[in-house]
Amino acid sequence: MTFAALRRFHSWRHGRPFSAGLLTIVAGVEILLAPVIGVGLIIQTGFAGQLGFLLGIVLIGLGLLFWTVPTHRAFTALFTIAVALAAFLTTNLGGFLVGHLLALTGAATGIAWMPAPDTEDTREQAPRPDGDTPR
Amino acid sequence: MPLKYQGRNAGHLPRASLRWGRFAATLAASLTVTGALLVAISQGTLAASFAVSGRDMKVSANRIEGNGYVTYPAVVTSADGRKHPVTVVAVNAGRVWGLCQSSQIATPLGRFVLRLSSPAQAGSVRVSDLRLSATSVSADLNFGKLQINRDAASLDAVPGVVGALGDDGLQAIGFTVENVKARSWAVISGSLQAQGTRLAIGRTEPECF
Repeated sequence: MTFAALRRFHSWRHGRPFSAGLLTIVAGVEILLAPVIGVGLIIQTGFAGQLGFLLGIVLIGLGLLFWTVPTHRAFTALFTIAVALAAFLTTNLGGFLVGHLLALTGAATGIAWMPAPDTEDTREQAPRPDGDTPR
Repeated sequence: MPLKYQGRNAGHLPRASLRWGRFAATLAASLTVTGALLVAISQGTLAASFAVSGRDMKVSANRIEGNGYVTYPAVVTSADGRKHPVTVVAVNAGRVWGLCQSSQIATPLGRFVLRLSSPAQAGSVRVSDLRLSATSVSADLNFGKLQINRDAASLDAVPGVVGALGDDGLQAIGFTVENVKARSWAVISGSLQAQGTRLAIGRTEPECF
């Protein structure tokens, strides 16, 4: 990989809540795979397994939303929390707690993320009257 | 950590930042809800659903009482394409005393034992749509309205659970089984409501039997 490509990735990564999306995607994959992890066996897993599959895919989608639509990160985070709680109740305690906790951490990271001061994303914030105050 | 605004011409790349206060508040709020759900599940107010499959799974129970019991032979196919004969045991709705389910999980860090147990003295666990794909089952049986050697495809004691046409099936409307010990490929529970359920993962965690 060239330096320019690394730099492009770097600026792409810093233009969006990257770790929030990554954590949420990993959570989705974990919840999806929890019924079969480590056993090399895939058989019918019933309602909980099917719902785990569905909620896992939804979490992966929400993780991608963190990356593609960073301006809506608060909504994405709220949905992520809701889906994580649903997975907790319906599928193996949300992948034996691991996927659940990953998704909650991802959502919190998404809500806490603030864009760099002079990207266009800051326009949604009302400018402070005392412009130079550290945020 | 809030980053000092360095200005467009400060010679630094603008960096996104995390507001750690918000992070902590969001995480704390959602973990509080999780904790409340855990309490509700362990007290039996809420039902948790489980789907686990594994070659080393062991299921045991002191006593199971319920209605709608079906068993028939089936074949499961593992991911490597091999076929394994199993006995499907399905329970429509019932109560379980002393339920224990343990499985060994191979991880890059070694083998861990995952155990889900509800001690007999904690009362009974309500289960619905419980299904095992068992390789061996031992139990003391007491069936009411028992039908043996019924075609597996025509079983109707547990809605939606039927075997292949021509296989031997067994079903019972009411049943009590005691000292159940089963090795199983998969345990599927539509819902499981338990008091005092304990979920433990660890290297030194004992298996159910």
